[in-house]
Amino acid sequence: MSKRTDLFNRKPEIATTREGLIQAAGSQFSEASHLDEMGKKYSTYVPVLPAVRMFGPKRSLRLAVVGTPCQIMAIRKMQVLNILPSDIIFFTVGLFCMQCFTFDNLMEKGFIKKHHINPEDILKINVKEDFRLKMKSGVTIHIPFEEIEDIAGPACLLCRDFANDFADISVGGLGSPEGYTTSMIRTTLAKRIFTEAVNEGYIKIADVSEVDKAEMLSLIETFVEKKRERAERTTDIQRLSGPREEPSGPLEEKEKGFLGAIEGDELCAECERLNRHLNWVIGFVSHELSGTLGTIVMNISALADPQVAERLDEDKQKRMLLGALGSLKLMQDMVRNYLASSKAKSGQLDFSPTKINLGRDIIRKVTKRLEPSLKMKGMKFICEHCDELEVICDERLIRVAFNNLINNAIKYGSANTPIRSSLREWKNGFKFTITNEGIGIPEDKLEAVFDEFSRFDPLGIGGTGLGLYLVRKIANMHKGSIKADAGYILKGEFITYEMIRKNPDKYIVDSGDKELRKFATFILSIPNCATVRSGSNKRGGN
Amino acid sequence: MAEQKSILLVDDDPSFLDAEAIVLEGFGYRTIKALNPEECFEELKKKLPDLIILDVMMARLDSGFDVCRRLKADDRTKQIPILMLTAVDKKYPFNFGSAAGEPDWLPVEDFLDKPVEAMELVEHVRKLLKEE
Repeated sequence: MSKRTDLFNRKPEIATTREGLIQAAGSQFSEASHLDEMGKKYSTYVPVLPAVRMFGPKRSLRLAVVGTPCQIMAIRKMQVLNILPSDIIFFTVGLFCMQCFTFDNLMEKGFIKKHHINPEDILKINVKEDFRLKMKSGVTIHIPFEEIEDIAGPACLLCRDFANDFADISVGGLGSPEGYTTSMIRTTLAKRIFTEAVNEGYIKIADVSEVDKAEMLSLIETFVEKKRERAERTTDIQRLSGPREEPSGPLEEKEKGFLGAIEGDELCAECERLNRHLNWVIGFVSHELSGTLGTIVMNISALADPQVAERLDEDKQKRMLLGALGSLKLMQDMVRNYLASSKAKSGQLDFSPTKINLGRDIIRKVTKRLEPSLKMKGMKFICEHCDELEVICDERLIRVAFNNLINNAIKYGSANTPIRSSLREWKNGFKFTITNEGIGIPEDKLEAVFDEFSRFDPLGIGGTGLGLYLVRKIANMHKGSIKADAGYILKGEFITYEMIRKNPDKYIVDSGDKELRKFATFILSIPNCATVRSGSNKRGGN
Repeated sequence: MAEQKSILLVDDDPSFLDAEAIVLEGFGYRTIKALNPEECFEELKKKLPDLIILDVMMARLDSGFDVCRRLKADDRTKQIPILMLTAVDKKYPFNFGSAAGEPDWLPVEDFLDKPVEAMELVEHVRKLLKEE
């Protein structure tokens, strides 16, 4: 009930009498939080969600929330049902949790009496493999969880989630050496954030052997099992003690099978994770495609609508047609990358090597195709030794790889700068190097740029997030490799991060210098693809 | 002859900006292009336009939101109507259109979800410039 206290306020109360019920009658228009009262009795956690609510309409905020399994579960349910403000929560850190505790009337609790504990002498409480009380005397008392069930929140005894299955990352002290936290990375987002936090030095990773890791996992699994068993035991007790009607009539065999299947918690958690990843991928893909589609629709609709077209001269109409064509080509590349990525994942990417001429069949065709983009940015594509190098490769895949590398160099290169590339024989195969001047790549991202959906994109240019990922896949399919290198251009010299590290006195870089130019290089190396070098023009170019 | 009205176009996609500008110029408007929030504010320092067409998601999801809130918080620019144009609905499960006009969240006068057709854009522009 919400009982009126004055004209503007109410307080939550549980009515147990007729009078109490009548006193709470009438309209009142301020916020009535009467369910909070009930919630308090059953809450199992520190109430962080009301804290999220205070951000109210500032929708552009993105929050990371640390929570117990019940809180993360609540957030996930809210997100599925689009209940505000869960939309601003973009990352969740889940705590391992056996239960929360209520410390009211502590003196009456069994474990206090059994271990002769004076609550005033407790210095610190910790939960690891058991419940630990560090006393002022320096002694630590270890109490098994079974002995402290009477101070656990009532709902905790029914909870089946120990390892916070629905969080992006689950963390807890269990299994880790002192001073460290066990972390279970569950989503791609968590992987990225964790990796970046490690790279930035915010997190230090302990060196854990495979054996120790297996032991940690086994310990966590024990606790997962313990919590589930307790939930089942508690549910059984409730069933026995309370009137609870079982569904009448025998279940059809088919229904039994279905219920059995969805009761597998692990399966559900995995499905939930996969679903979230799938939703994210769909969102990502449709956003990237719809951006390009927007340009096509604007151009074509203008040309198709006489009301608009009659106002555009021939030159403008041609520009719009070329604009639409350029966007269509971009879209074609994106679709090709998505399809290739999907096929690569399911092992369905065909690999049919044939004899091809890299300069003639690949590089020249790709650069011709990308000519409008090069022109738009006033860039020049320079390729050394690009003619007449014959190799045995999958033509379609190699074209995707070169297209992605050259397109990438254009997209992230500065306007009016050259793109330098070279094609050389290497280990009975070839090495293709491509360098642009532009945003460069930070040293800690040199590997991450090849991750699926990973994009170092401070300019917000957009794209599939798959371009370089696919280049690596394709290189690997040809038993080759791709690596990135980057650094600064000092007095016309290209200085990599490694060179600076090795010779810090020789190369002094002022990273705050606005005039400082950066470069990025990609090196695609494919050995043993039976090259045959022919022709006389060995220093051709585009 | 009526004075030519000016529209500031803010979008991180140069090819979309180009198409948008050709269409609007065909209808007699003067267009100014900005590829990011910084360029947008630079242009506003020079001269105030009659309308701003803004993409919500430039370098970050909230870039467009930040820009429109800053514009509406500034006495000099708060009177300029904003048409927000975006494909963001495809990525996030919120109905941005229904929130248009909320002062703390989406203080814009109008909202269009990309892809948008040329004539549809022109009609919204005319309405915002009170030409209908």
